[in-house]
Amino acid sequence: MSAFFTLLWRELPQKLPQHYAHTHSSSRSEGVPTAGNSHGVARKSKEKLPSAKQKRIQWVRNLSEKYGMGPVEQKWIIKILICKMQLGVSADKAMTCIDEDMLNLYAGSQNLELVCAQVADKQFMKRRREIFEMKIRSIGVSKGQGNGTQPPLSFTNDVHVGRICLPMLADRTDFRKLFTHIGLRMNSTPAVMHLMSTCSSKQEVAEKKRFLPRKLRHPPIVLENKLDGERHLVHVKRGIITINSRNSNWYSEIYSPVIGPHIRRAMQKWDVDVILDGEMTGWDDGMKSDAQFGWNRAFAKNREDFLKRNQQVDPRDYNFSHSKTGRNNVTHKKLGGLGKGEHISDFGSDNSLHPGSFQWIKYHIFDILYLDGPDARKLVKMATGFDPDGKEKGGAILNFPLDVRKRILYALIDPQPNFVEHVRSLVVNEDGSAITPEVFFTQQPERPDSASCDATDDDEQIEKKRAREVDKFYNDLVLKESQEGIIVKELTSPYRLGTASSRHMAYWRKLKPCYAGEQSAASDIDALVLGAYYADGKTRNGRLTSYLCGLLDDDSEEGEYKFMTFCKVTGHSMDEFGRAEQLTGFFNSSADDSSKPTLGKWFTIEENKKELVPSFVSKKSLQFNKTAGDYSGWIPMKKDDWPHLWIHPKDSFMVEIKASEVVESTDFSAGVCLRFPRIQKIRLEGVGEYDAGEKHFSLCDSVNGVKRAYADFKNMAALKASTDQVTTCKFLTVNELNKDIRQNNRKKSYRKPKEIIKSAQVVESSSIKKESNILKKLTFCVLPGTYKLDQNNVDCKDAKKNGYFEDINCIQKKGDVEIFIFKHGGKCVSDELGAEYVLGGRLEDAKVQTISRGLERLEMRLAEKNVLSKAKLTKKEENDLRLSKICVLNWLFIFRVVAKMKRNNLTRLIPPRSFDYLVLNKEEVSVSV
Amino acid sequence: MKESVIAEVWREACNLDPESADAKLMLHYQDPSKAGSFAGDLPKAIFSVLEKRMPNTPSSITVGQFNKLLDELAGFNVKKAVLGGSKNHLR
Repeated sequence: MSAFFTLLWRELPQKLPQHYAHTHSSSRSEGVPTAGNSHGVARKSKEKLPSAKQKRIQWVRNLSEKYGMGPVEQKWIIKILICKMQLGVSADKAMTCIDEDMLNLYAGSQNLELVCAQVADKQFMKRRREIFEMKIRSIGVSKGQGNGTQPPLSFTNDVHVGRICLPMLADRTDFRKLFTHIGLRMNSTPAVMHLMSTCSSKQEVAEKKRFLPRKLRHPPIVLENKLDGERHLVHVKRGIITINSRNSNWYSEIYSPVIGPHIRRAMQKWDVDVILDGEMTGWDDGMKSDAQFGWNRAFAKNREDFLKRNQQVDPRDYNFSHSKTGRNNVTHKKLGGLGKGEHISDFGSDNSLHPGSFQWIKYHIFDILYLDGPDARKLVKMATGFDPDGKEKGGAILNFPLDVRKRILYALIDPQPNFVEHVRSLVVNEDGSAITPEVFFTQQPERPDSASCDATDDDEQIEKKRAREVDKFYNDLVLKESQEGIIVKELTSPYRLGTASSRHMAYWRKLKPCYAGEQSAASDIDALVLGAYYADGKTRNGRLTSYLCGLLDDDSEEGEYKFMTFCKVTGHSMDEFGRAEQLTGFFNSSADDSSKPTLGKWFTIEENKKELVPSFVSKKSLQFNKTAGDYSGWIPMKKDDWPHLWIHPKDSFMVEIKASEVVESTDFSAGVCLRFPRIQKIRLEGVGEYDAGEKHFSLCDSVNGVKRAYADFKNMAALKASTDQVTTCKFLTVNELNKDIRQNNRKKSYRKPKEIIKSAQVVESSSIKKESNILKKLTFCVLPGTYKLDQNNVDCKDAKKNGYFEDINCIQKKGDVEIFIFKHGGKCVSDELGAEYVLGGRLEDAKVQTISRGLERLEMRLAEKNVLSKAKLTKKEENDLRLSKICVLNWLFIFRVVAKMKRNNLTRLIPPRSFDYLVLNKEEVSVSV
Repeated sequence: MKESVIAEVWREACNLDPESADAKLMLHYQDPSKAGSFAGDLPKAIFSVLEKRMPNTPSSITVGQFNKLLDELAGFNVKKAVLGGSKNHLR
């Protein structure tokens, strides 16, 4: 039964109507409500609620009365409804167990019933695997092999127009490693795999790689603008346009009426059915720019209203039924008229004042997944110059390389400025040149030229050139124009539907400024904790893991500071949360204990009403009037925003918050809110001290301060980008990266020994020839450090005199000393406590220093107290005591002794003398001398 | 339907007084002072309330029937779906 539920809950977001799905989808799909209508709608909904609520209550009653369901069954029903099964196994896992390919199938259709039927069909799965293997073979060889043959490309049935599928995802990338990662892809191409199987050594492979076509060594890439809008797939089937989001919900009702006509116009030259992939943003024609994230819905509504008034709506954009074959049926909106409760704005007869006249939705297209219809084959032939295999007249083209898909797209779409456009992009070619996509994707596909097969020694130069092009594109878009980021795509890549695994295939890579480790635009915000929320879930239940934070109200006066609610924030280590709980007196014994928690300084206010907002929250609110504000206090817009517990500022503490952006919001009284906020640091100094609160109030950022700092930051970044023309390139080639890593390692090496091996025999015995058995049965530990002979050392003379100079002169590192010991029958371990003799390189080496300092500390303690009682030792002292038994010998000792023993034919090891020690315990001196 | 709505619906269906301890346990399921050891786990919290009130006997409902039931529940919300943008105020 539970396995069934696991699978079932994936389907639920589609089963339940949109309202439900929104609340569980990510915040990306949240619309920003317009300020004016909020009160009205809230009242209306209260009158309307009972009917739906009564039905639901009756539904629940029926469960037990009509169907006789017991508590256990109802518990599982609730688990289904809240989409949290908590079985310890995810639906993805369950599907993978049934069939490895099931997840991909599901990504393509989002229809569990269909997918189950497909998986049960052995024939179907076999065919699918065959096609898949063909696809794998074709990756990376398209047009690059030098023999001019095209890979076999054919239409498949991975996706169907009008059926929900999940868009491809991009993997996040490190700026420095971008080119290295792209270069690694080459290793999985047939050409390189062939090399690897035929060549004997790595050097040989590397050498031969240089003779591979240049397209393989420097795969062409396309750079695209990463837009801050909503990702949508647009299905066009016989002129009817349906739209699905990446959360697998249909959004046709909202967007089809406004964008539909333009999409049809953009592709009117061809009679085809397609699925397009792209990003939707709101376009403000007055400002001539994309609107801020979150305003899409409002723009779409305004535009629709405007079109209706001018009778410009197309009935086709209301006459869609979502996937008759699938079950993802969403309610159909009736043609004409506004829905009840919809905001009808009165703009009189003057249409030019209507916001819909200058606000609309813009669709930035960047990919195509499916192509069918009478003109499908003709289009492919015209755009790419070849005819797909097979007899189908059209179908999914997921296995076509991006290069081919883009060519089809550029042939198909006739851009409608500011309505339907290709996303801004740039192609960086294999020779390091940058070409605009309009030119690159409309040229006849070039024949592979023989010259590119020559080995060229300017590989590094080409990579550098390519890196500079990417850097320039990034600087232009992100730093100067404050775009969200860029996406880097390989032109040979297929389209992989959006599953977790497709993200990790990383054919697409996203780069955002915050990945560069640069200061994000909104970091180091100091806010005061005003309240807290109980955690939800199995492990953290009953703990306080998210806080309601406030900023200082600019108008409040000293001695009586007031705060405006600002954001809800979480994300830090449980230890820190625990310490905060402890210092504020909150105590919840344990989840299994039924005893009630001690609240300490926290207090509860149960009703979610503005009259009950504590007095330390400012009466001033910028929720609805962004500049002047009103004095109605904070009006919680979401029930969840009301904290479970409040805390008075004088008992409270500060948190440092980091976020990606500061955005306008009506949720909190500061009028702004953070996007992707997380806690950087919880500051607990002074908490609980009397009146300490007053001191740190003034350290809290104020509302205007945050707004100003954020605006400044954005300006500064743009200014910096425009003035610093000769900045270093953020993108590194493979060689540059390796060099960089080496340098970093060298810097760190004295602190961090590379080998970490537990007490075990370090040196492998097989490959080394033994010379003598002088050191038999003795164990040594060679500490990490520097082992190299200083030519000015006095020991040199001794070494030359006694004939072991050659032995020590060739020593370069720790390992060499170990090999020497092994040659003479000794054993090496890495744990200094398990060895009879410990060897060190120089006194300055970190490890030697640790032991020596520990010994000093211990001696000081001994001098103070005369006796060390074991019970009173701290952990550190205990460790010191342990290490104090160790005496570190100079590494030269072992060479000298071995040489001497060889000469005199001694069998017992000559004991070290005091000058042989680097670190010496005083007690040991008396023994050893 | 969010957790808070589910709690409210189940409370009404059981005819519980909103002030009663069991009702509070469900409505404030995240609060350990009310939900005790069930804090943070709504299904468990409701289960604990139901357990006291009805026999724990298995039913004979089929998957098909249950599927229909869920479709029915989903249908209650149709009007709200049309409202779309103003959903924030409906909770």
